[in-house]
Amino acid sequence: MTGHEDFDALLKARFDREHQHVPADPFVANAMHRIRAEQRLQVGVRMGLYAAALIAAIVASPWLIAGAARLNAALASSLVWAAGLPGVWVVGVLAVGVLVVQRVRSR
Amino acid sequence: MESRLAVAELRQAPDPLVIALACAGDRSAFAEVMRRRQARVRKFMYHLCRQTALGDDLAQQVFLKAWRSLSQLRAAAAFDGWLKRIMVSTWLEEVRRGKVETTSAIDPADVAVHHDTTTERMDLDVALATLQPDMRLCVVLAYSEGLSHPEIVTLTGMPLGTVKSHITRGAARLREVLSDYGERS
Repeated sequence: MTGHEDFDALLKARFDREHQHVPADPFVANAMHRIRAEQRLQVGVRMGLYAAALIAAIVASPWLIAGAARLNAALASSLVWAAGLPGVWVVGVLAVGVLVVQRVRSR
Repeated sequence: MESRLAVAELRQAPDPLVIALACAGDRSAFAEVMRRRQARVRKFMYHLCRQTALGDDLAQQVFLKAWRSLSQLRAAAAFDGWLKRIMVSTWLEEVRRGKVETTSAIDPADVAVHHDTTTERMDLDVALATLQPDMRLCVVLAYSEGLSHPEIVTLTGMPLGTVKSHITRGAARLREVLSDYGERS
């Protein structure tokens, strides 16, 4: 800044004279107190979220188990269907469709 | 995290070591970093907001933000520039919240804030409060922090022309206000 032509050295000296003695205490102690409080809060929130997730999993477990069983059954029946003649035809038609679309796009 | 050094050792330790320990999560080292930097940060905030309590609160916010994001700091040597960016962004957030006041006319009660043993003089912070927040920030960064125009542009995101104009007009306004109250800057 001092290199600039319109720099006011007297004003700079005035700034330097202000607030020369700013004691560190109790400022540092208060700031550290805030930091510790925030850390405690973060730990508390994290623990709360873990606990909430655990409780939610326990409460929802009957639905989760039933849903998984239904999903399993649906997957098994669709595999049986896909392995049969209609499934092979559908997969073949879809493959031809994909090839046609790719050809049209590449033009 | 427990400190690897005793408080007395931290007081004697060189800056890069203390900053590196603070970056590793050492709370005592961070307290020492804060002890070494607090006067500069608080002085910066006092100039900008004029109120000691608010200035201290903003300075504490600066250190709180610094503690939260210390892990992002790449090198101890970059600490002061990085802290300066947090100081400026904390102030700009305060301005955006609309909590910063600009005094159009000086209250005579504010004039003799400092009672020296021989004279009563105009408080510089009162004079600074007559500047618009952006202009005040540029003047404080230039005259209190000693930053160059390009450095202020980088920190504030303002165009270079605006920064130069703010500093020139702001310094002129300060000289005018201070001389109106019988004081040479």
